[in-house]
Amino acid sequence: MEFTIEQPALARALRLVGRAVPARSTNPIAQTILVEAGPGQVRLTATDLEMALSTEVVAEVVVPGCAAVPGRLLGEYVAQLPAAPLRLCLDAAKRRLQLQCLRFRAEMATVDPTAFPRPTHAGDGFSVSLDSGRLQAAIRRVAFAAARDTSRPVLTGVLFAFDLGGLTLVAADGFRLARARLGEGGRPDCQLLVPAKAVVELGRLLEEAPSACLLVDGEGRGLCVQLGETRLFSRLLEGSFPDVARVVPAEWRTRLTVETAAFRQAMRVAGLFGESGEARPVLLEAKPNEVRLHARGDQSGEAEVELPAAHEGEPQSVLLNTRLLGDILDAATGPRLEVSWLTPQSPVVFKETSGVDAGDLWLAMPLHNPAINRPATEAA
Amino acid sequence: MSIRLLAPDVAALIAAGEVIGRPADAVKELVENAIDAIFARPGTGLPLGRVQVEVREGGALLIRVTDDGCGIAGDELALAVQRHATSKIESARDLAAVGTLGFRGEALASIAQVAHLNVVSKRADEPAGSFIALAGGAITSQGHRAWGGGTSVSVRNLFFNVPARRQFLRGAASETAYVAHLICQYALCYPEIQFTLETEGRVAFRAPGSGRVEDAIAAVYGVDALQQMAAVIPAEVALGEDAPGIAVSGYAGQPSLSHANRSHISLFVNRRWVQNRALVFAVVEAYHDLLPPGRHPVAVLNLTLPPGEVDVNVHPTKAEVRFARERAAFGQVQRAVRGALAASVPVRELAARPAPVTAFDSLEEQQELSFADPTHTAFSPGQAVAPEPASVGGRRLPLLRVIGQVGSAFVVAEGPSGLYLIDQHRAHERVLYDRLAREGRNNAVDRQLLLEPLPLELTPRQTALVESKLAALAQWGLQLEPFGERTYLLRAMPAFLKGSDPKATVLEIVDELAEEKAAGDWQERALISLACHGAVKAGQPLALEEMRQLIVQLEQSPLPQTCPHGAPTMVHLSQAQLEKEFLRR
Repeated sequence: MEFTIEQPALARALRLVGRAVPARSTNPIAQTILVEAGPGQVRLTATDLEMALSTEVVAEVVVPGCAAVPGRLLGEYVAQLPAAPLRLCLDAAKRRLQLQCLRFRAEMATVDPTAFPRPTHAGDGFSVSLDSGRLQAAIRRVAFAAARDTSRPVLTGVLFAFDLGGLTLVAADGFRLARARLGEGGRPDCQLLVPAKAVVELGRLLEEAPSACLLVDGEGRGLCVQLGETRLFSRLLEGSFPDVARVVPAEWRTRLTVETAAFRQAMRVAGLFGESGEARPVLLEAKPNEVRLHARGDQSGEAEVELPAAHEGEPQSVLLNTRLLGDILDAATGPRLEVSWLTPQSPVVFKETSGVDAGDLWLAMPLHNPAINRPATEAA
Repeated sequence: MSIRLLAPDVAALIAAGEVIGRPADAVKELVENAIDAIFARPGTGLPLGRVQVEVREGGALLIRVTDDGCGIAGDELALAVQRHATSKIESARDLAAVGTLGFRGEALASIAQVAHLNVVSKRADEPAGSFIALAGGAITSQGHRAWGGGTSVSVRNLFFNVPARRQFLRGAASETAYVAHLICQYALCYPEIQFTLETEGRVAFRAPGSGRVEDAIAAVYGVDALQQMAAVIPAEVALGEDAPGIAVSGYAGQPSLSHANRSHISLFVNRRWVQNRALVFAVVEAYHDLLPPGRHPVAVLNLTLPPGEVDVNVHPTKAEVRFARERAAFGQVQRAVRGALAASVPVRELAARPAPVTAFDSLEEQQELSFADPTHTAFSPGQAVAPEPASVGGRRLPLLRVIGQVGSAFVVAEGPSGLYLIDQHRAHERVLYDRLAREGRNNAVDRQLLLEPLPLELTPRQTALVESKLAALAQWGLQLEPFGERTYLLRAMPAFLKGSDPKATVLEIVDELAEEKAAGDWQERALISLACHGAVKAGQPLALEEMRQLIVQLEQSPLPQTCPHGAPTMVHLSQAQLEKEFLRR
């Protein structure tokens, strides 16, 4: 294998696929990047066995061939080189990759490329084309809510639920749920459960791609997303995701409409005072024409914020975990949010009210503290 | 075989077996007689009296206990060695308020049954001493001889006529150890008496008889240990509405002074050495979150309570006692020890502590005499000899400035006297434990409700255990709901546990319940387990602000120096030690 390539293009491609190289692995081949030189281009592929990233770069190929090169070393070395043509040549006998760029010369040990776990994709499934901007926005609204602990594997994934009207993305951990809808990509009912890590990576790749084409393999085990010259492969999770329709409450007794930015700011300020380790509780009291946020800590003191709000229904209060809500409020983009709940111990729903995102929602389970909730409910 | 009355000598031999099981039992009886004799004669100087104990071959060959007490009148000697002969009580009414160590009138008679006994004694008002010698209960000789005063009892060839029991004696070293342990207990309890123990002709132990319990502790455990003990300040607490109080006094060792067994816990009730499981457990419980499992504290404690509140006539050896209000006694001991520890637990030193005071006398110079009341009921240590607690101006921790984190596991902080390394997991564990215990009591734990209840399948045993504890678990924020025969639904969990796997955490706590031991407090263990699960783990990088917060919260804890499992939360590398390591001094 021998080819010449522009350093900036190679460095960028290595940075892109390098994200799939696992930091630690017992298998040396998993920490390599597969370099394949074909007519007029070079393909780079990396995988952590769950997800694979692959991209193509234009190159002047003299001798086609392939090599598996230690990913971290190659990436860091190329990134340091000057922006000039870089010649790579494989010494097959010694299994060494020689690199030359101006005055810089190096030889890198390579690994047998036949052992590299190439991502495969059974082609007889279906494909859906989506607008990258819309898909990226939906991923931003949803992916953070996926569970980080692996005790319930289905919750570590993001649900891609297709129906004739479009695609709905849902993620949940044990305490919150996020749901966003794209009015495109409609097809007969089908559900895919994609690991959240791959979805977050997809969101990152979408920044530079005009469109995305989702290719689902015929066996329903893997997903390939084509983004221009770059491809992301991911295995799909098995198991059944919680029934979203059942979890999202259909009724409410208290409903508030608040300015998103003001609510976000108030929650952050009040959250400084809550003290419960992870939780940082804030009491939300719905009153006619306003909502009062109140946080108190034994050691920190207390804080109170009043916000104007359109109020419907009962003047109930609910105790919320600001840590849990921080991500939700950061994900909300619309000017106003509708906040509703049935009782202080039922899920609190945050819903976008306008624009293309109207109907996207987040759901957070409240905190319950008998010592705080009691007077509030009695007052109600 | 028809039923018949046993011959008197057989009956006496059987009875003797109850009182005297090994040489140490004979020593105990004789030492108690000696102490009673010392208190029975007038005198107020220090030492109040002397008790000299000599044993050979672990006591099997010879036990000799000599005192300078009131002595036995020559014409009463023959009576004294008879069963149920005593000068200490007269009527059944006296039994309710026994003020002396002995009262059953069995000791000398029992010993005489199973050994060669020789008693020499002289009262102060007698011109000459008297002696009596017995073998197997029968008098072999009796008469007068020259003797300075007090009483000396020699026991030779113990169990010479009970070969079965003699066979069961352990080696001389073990039996000597029993005797030495016993003498130490009396030395701790009666610091105003000078005790000397001689084994195989050598002085093995000597208590100074200075009247101060601190000196007795130094004699038994060493000055080093004494410096690591905290005074338990006696505070009388009423037992009931119109009942007089119970007071606990003495010394409790700091957690740095732990041992693998409980033999270093000395308990006295009205200055009588007792072995009461409940009281020992009360002491151990007071250390539950200060010592790691398998380690036991050092403590020297005396409970003072009205004689009517305690029954000492439970067992012939009088080592067991029963309390009219055991719970009150238990609680009082636990509170007293806890209070002393909370006031004094120091930060663990990284390596050797500064050279301790070595000369015994120098201790006396530092301390005032405060154990001077040599009456039979006093046991009130005065000022603590314990090292200065780490507290500065009422703080339990020195003022710490966070410098950084080592290995994503330890917080490095600078204090006024050097460097402190704080284990982030243990420190957070302590913070959470305290908060959970406090909020749990007020039912004010923030609980995070779950989006979907988590079903937990339990074994029949776990189900039975959980069923009765649902209310207590709910108090800590674990809301479990029965759902079918052996399934429970977890609906909420303590908010601080949010980051961990709820199912695994709950199952682990259920396992804690299942491990219920007779003595263990499941609530305590469950609390510790919850705190452990919620705490930051080693390996978790912390921001500077998070570390500061952790230290601030730790400072609020009444016992910030150990985690609830009893392991230290921090170690201290003193300025002096740093300078020494760098060869600056």
